[in-house]
This record gives sequence, structure tokens and C-alpha cells, in this order.
Amino acid sequence: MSRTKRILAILPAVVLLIFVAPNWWSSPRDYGPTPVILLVLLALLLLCYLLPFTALELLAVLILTIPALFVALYSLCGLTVGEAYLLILRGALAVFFYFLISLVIETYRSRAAASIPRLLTALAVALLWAVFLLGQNILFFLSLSILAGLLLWYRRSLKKNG
Amino acid sequence: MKAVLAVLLLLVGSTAVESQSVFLNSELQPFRINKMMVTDLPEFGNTRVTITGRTLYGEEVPLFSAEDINLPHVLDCFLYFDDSIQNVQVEVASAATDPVLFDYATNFNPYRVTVFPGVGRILPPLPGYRTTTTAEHLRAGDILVLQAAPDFVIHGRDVGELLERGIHVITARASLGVDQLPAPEKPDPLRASLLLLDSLDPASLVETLQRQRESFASFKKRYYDLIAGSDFYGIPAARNQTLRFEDARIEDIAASLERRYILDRVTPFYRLVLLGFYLPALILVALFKRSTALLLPLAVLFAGFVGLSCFAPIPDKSLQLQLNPTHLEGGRIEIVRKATDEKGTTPIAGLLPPSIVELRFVPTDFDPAMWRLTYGLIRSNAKQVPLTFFTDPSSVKFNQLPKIERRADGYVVRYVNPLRYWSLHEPD
Repeated sequence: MSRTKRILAILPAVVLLIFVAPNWWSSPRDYGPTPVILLVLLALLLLCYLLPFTALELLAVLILTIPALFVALYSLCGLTVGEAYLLILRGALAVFFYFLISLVIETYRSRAAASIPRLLTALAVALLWAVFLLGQNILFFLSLSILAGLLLWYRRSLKKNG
Repeated sequence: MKAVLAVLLLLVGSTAVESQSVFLNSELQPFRINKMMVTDLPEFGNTRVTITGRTLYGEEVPLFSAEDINLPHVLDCFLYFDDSIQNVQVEVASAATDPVLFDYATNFNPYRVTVFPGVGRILPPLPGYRTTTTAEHLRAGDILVLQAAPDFVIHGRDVGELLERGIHVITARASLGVDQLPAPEKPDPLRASLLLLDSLDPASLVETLQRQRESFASFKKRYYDLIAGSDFYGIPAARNQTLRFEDARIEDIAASLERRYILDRVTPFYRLVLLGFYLPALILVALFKRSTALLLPLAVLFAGFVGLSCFAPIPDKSLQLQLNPTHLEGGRIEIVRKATDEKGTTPIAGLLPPSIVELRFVPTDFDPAMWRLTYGLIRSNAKQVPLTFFTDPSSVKFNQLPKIERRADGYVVRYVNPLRYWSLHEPD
């Protein structure tokens, strides 16, 4: 991982920690989980759009972000442990799904030419997640990710075979 | 075969025409847990009982729900509503029957006093009063006509307990000597009055009730105002100048306790765990350039965080402030913190400093044997509390309209964090 990537990888987590760790957001009432996770999702998708992460690097970014997001959902939004991790898993799968779509787009276009479709995809994934997919079963996200994984495998096999 | 089919159809039809009915234990009142009984529920099939409140502007608010394959034949339903609710609708629906609706208006009059005139004595209708045939329906501010048998003298202590509970007693002078009645230790504005009449014949009772109507009504409304007039940002202000604050500072006690004790949403446990995760994680990110080398220790750290988070102490908190209504009259109140449950909820939490989950405050001269006024705040991630917690108070006011649900393990109140309440409790 380059230095820029490493610095930016910890950025969402640092921003979340600034929101969570001090007590200035504390109040007895619960905050809505949807705006919290939507903002984090948008930040991660933007990060994926700006930097060409590999799958492993993306996994590292997600691992770095999840603890701070969990504390925000559990403590500030009043979700149970199970609810919080389920919501995080859905968000992580949405990010990973976007990553795979980006790879597929880049397979058929040059990196520069793929810029606009990738940006539109990022916005579409975040919007779909927020508006339509928020209440869907986790299996829906899993099946989408498996489908995208198959596309990735197909893309790589195409590259390998010239 | 046709005969068997006919019998089966008849059996199915008999359940379809079964008619439910609803019984009220007493009239529907705002600011208390009301009880209804729905009878003749279908014995099989998924049955659903819902109670919805409707406001003046037509907004529908769910107040109660019970849904089960095996609901009891007679179902106890509980509902809470405030003075914004104008109508209450009970709906009974099942797979076998059409939905049945019952509609009730909540035209509660806090001035109206209930009178139990005694067994076998009938009073004519009186404006401002309603009569009841059982003394169990009497509440604070109501009137009990106590008639002793000819050779039986009413015990003064029993009458004293009724008066302390806010129930006025009217009885014959010959049945109870004034010297028998124990005098209250300190003046209590919520203590009811004892009226001794020469005779308990209906004419004398009617004359007395008519004469005392205004004082009885204002006394009853005093109880109502203690809860109905409560403000969630302070101690309830009294109306009609019956209970007056001399010192405005006491109105901020509940709010200041909240500000001081309830605010730390992120517990010290999570602050430590976050530090324990992010400090090594940042070092790892700085040290390792290869993603594969970084990922493995990062995954181990993450697994540790997930494991700890599953066993972390629950950040639930509750705060309780108890007063006697007499405290609303005077000047400054000195509040002390009483014994609290300082408990760790998991083995890991036990290793850390104890987290205070329940906080209770009372004035130094708090007397549990008198009427008690309780301010409470409950914040929990479960967002539900057993209903039994609120069935004991004489009246209760929530900062929201919580929904009561019947579950397999009992009735629960479901709420949105935080649940604040004021409740009024009878003397022990």
C-alpha cells in the first residue's frame, strides 16, 4: 500500500472516532442509524472511487472502519450488538459490491474512460442501499456479492487467457 | 361422508359467528395503565387483537397488540394514553372471522368523583358524581360511605388508612368516635377528609354531597394535576395554587440529575477497547507496506474487538427521583443518592470498574409511607420494559405514547429511547 493509500485508509475511522469518542454527541435520545451509516458508506465509496484499492486493501480499510462504526451504532443509535453488526455487514457488502462493479467496468473501458460510470455507480449503490435495500434480507446482499465475485473470476480468467 | 362434511362445516361456521365482547374494569382514563378484557376469542387460528388511539386530528397511534396462534379465550389488554387521544378502537381479527371493531370515547372528566354509597343504598343521580357498586373501583379523591353494623364499631386505623390513600370517608357519628382516629404526624395536603353525619339516609348524603361538591372536585383534580400537569424538564408544577413552588431551583432537579449522570453514551469500556484496537492498528498500518502482511494481524485485532464487543457491559441506564408531594410546597430540597445497583453484566465487565446502571435519588426527609411522586428515565438498547413496572402506580405520565405488547413471557412496554415518566404511588 502506498503512503497516500495508507493515510486515506484510516481517514474514515479517524473521522468516526472524532464523532464518537468525545461525549459531545451524547444525549439520552437515540440518533437515527440510517444517516450515520449512509454517510460512512458514501465516504467509503468515494474513497474507492478516488483510489484504486485492491481487494485486500479494501478489506483492510473496512476492518479499520468497522470498530468505530460499531460503537457509533451501538452507543449513539441504541442498536443491539446483533443489529449493529448486521447493519455493518450489509454496508460492507454494498462497498464490496461497488468495488466488483468498478472492476467489471474497467475491464471493458480504459481507467480514464471508466471514471464517470464508476462515479455514477458509487452514487447509485449508496442511494439503492439507503432507499430500497436497507430493509432487505442479508441473503440479498450475499447473492449480489457472489454474483459480482463470479464476474470478477470471469474477468481474471479472460485476462489470463489473453 | 356428506354428513361428516356438514358437521365440519357447521363447526367451522360456529367459530366464524362467534362474537367477541370487550369489558372495562373501570372507565378509560388518561395517564394510567387501563385494563380491558376481550372475551370469546377464537380457540384456534392466528388471532390478533390491536388497540389504536385516535387523536383530535385523526392521527392513529398503536397502543396495544397481541398476536398468537393460541391466545387465551379471555385476553387481558392494557393500554396507556394521554389527553390527546379522543377515541380508542379495539380490533379483533383472525383467519377464521371477519375483523370486529369496538369504539370507545375517552371523555374523561377529572373533576367527577366516584361514590360508593354502601351495599343496598341507592342514591339519585347527582351532577359531578357517579356511583359505583363496588368499593374496589374507588381511587384517590373518591368517596366511601362507611356503614357499620349495629353492634360493630369501625376501627379508627382502617379509616385512617383510607384517608391517607386519599379516599374520603362519610360515616355515621355513632359508628366512629373522633378520639379513635389517629391524627396525622405531619400535615398532608393529599390526606382526604372524614365527614361524620348524624344519619346515613340518602337525603342526608345527597345534601352533604351537593354542599361539598366543589371541594371534593378540587381535591380529586389535585391528584390528577400531579401527573397530568407534570413537565419532563422539571418537577410537575401544581395548578390552582394548591401546590406552589416557593423556590424555582427545585424545578431543575430532575433535569440536572439527567445532565450529570445519564450523558455518557460511550462507556469507559468502549473507550478502552477502541484505544486497544486503533493504537496497534495504526502502528501496523504505518509499519507494513504489503497488504497481505498487514491483513493478518489486523484481522486478529478485529476478531479481538468483535469478541469483546459481544461480552461488553450493556450501556443501559436508569435514573429515579422520588419525592413526597409535600416537597413541592416548600423551599429547597436536599437530594441524596440512595443505594444503587452497581453491577457488571458480564464476566468481562466484572474486571472493569463497576458501571452504575441504576441511580436513585430521594430528599433527605423522604417518607415512603406517604404518597410518592417518582420521576424516572430509562434508556436501554432493548427499548422495552416489563409492564408490571407501571401497573403499581396510581397514575403515570410518559413522555411518549408507548405501545404495550403481549409476548409469550408477559406484557412489555415498547418505547423510543429515552422513556421518561412521572408516576404517583399510594402510601405503603
